[in-house]
Amino acid sequence: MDSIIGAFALLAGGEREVWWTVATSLRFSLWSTLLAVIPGVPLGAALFLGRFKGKRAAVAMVNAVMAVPTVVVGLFVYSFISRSGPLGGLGLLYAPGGVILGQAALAFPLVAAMSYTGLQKLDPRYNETLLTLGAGPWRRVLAIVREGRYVITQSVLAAFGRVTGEVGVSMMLGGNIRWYTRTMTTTIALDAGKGEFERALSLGIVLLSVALAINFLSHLAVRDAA
Amino acid sequence: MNLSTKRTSVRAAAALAVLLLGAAQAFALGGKEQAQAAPAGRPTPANPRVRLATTTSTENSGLLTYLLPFFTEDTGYTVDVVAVGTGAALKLGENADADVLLVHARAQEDAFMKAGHGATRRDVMYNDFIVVGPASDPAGLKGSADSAAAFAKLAAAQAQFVSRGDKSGTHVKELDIWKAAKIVPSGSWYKEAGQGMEQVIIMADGLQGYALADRGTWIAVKDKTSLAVCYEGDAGLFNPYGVITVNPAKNVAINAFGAKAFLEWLTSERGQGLIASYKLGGQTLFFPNYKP
Amino acid sequence: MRPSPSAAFSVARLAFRYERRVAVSCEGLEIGLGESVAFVGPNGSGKTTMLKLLNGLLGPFDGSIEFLGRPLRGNPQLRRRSVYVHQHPVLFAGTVRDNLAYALRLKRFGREESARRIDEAAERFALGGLLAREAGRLSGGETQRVAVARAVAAGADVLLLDEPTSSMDAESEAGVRSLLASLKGSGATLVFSAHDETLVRDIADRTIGFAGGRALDGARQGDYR
Repeated sequence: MDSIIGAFALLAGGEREVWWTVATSLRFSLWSTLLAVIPGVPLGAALFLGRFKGKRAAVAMVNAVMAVPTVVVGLFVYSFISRSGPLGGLGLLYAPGGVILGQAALAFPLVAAMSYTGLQKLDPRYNETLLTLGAGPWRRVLAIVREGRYVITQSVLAAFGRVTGEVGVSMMLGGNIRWYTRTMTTTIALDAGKGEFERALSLGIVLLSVALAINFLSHLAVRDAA
Repeated sequence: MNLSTKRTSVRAAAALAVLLLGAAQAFALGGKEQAQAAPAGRPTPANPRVRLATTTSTENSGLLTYLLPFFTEDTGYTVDVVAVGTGAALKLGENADADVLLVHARAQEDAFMKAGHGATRRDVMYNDFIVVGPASDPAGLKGSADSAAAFAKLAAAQAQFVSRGDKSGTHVKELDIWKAAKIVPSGSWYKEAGQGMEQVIIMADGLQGYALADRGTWIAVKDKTSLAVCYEGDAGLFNPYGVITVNPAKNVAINAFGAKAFLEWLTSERGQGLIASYKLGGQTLFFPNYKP
Repeated sequence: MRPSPSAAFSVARLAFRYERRVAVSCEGLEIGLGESVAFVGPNGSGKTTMLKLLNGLLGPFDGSIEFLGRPLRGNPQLRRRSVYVHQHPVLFAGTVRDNLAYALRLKRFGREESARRIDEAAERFALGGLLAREAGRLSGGETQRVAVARAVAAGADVLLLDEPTSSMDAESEAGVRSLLASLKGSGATLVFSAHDETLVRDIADRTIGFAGGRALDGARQGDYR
């Protein structure tokens, strides 16, 4: 109980490093979500609209990748952005770029799979009408994304929630470097280990508020879709 | 297709995202400026970021947090500290993912140098390992002949023991002691945590068990626990730290100048003096021992 | 046998499977350009599936469907001259005018040509009062009318209509019937499914019966002319 009071005091006291960590977390998560949405939503829409051989396999693949643990994604991305890896020259490892890339790799299949699943709830006549009126593939992707914007908003929010709350990728690719790549979750991991529960808890409270905000927006999206 | 929507969620989400991103960007950049503020009158190095892979003990004992601002002030280099176990730190060096290493596992350091992964290695400082445990010392470690004898008592008593289990320098030292005691530790009393030093001490506190710890981390964390030092002072518990610059021939991206600057600074009179002056609760944590 | 160029649709040995079961089959069927054909049969007998197959909305299928003398398979651009209209058509959110404009944009009509075609359609389909209305607020009959207008304005002269008068009040039904009659008079090809005997008698040149997923050979089941 004392540590909960201490946690609020820490937040209210406006300790600069705590709030810097919050800002850094949000910055990484927003960029990585954006990076994941740009290919993820069109892929989800294409999977939904497409009539091609191997579609089931492609959907199963996306769903399977979504279930890969964050540390495995981290390891995989590490092997690419390590200085001895193919993208080593970009200097992304242990830098913000690495965290953002890793988190985007984490969020991308989630966005695609959730968009795909969500769009299936749309009225099938919508797509047929577009087809019969002669809309080409790009037009249809665009129109279906617009029509399904509420379910897509939900998938984007879910992706944002996942990357904000993950610790494996941030730790492995960011290195938890102070004033550089330290995020809410890596700080929590570090502080909880050190027994500094107040600071860990204060960031936990921020994470909880982020999760609540996401849930609220997601709820709005469901309501608007109806 | 809906062009005339009055619905709120999509807009709310988008507006919030833009707002948050703007605020976060501004704040984060502001924070970085503060962290890197370079004093005037000294040229900034061409590549001012040096990546140091080190053991958790140097970072979490507070030593680096204390030293690095001085280093930055003196040289203009900012150090990105990646705190992992010694084993992982050496691996990062091998992969060229770190510029300079600060580690404590002499045999592995020598192997690292021999394999050509490192450019220069220097002794920096030492402290010692200690066995921490419940203040009542139920296994009766106090007064053991040496560390191996103390460990033998632990095994005999089946006392709860938390091992780092992460190939860190401390873990390597622990395994050496078990070997010297001719014991292969196993059973429910022996717990391999796979965590950093503080986590392991905190866990040992929770279990009211024992753990091998470096003195620096112990001093930094002891006030948060009910544990006490149960065994110390054996020559076998000597814990020397070395600094190694990664061989710049491995990769063009390695900040060789920055790494060399760090190695030189740490072993300079100024660096050594600062190490000796770092105290926590009135106690010196690390003893400089570089001999030119 | 080469289909005559005047055939709108020419179907041979068609079998369409849905979840490994043959949903619709048809040995042979020909529908001429300018003809009006009604698909009749009980619910679930395959009429809707057949209409969608003719429009290229469903696939893959065995056998062949030719549209205007060319195979439908692998020629998606062929779809442009025919439009399928759902039993309960979908209008996009926005006004009726937005709906027409969007369909015209899909067919790459320019701004001026679009405006001209919208005016023309408004007059022909008596949409004057509807153009500015929200599409989602229209009655069933009005929705049907706008859906047909949207297709025709965009240049379709082969219309595949699924139960165009189902669940409508008598007045709307009469409106749609006269709309189809006028389309027929202008030379459009109409293929529609219907339960409503009056509609079939007034509009269809001939009927094709459906039962249990089979189109009955394209044989003439009756001629109301």
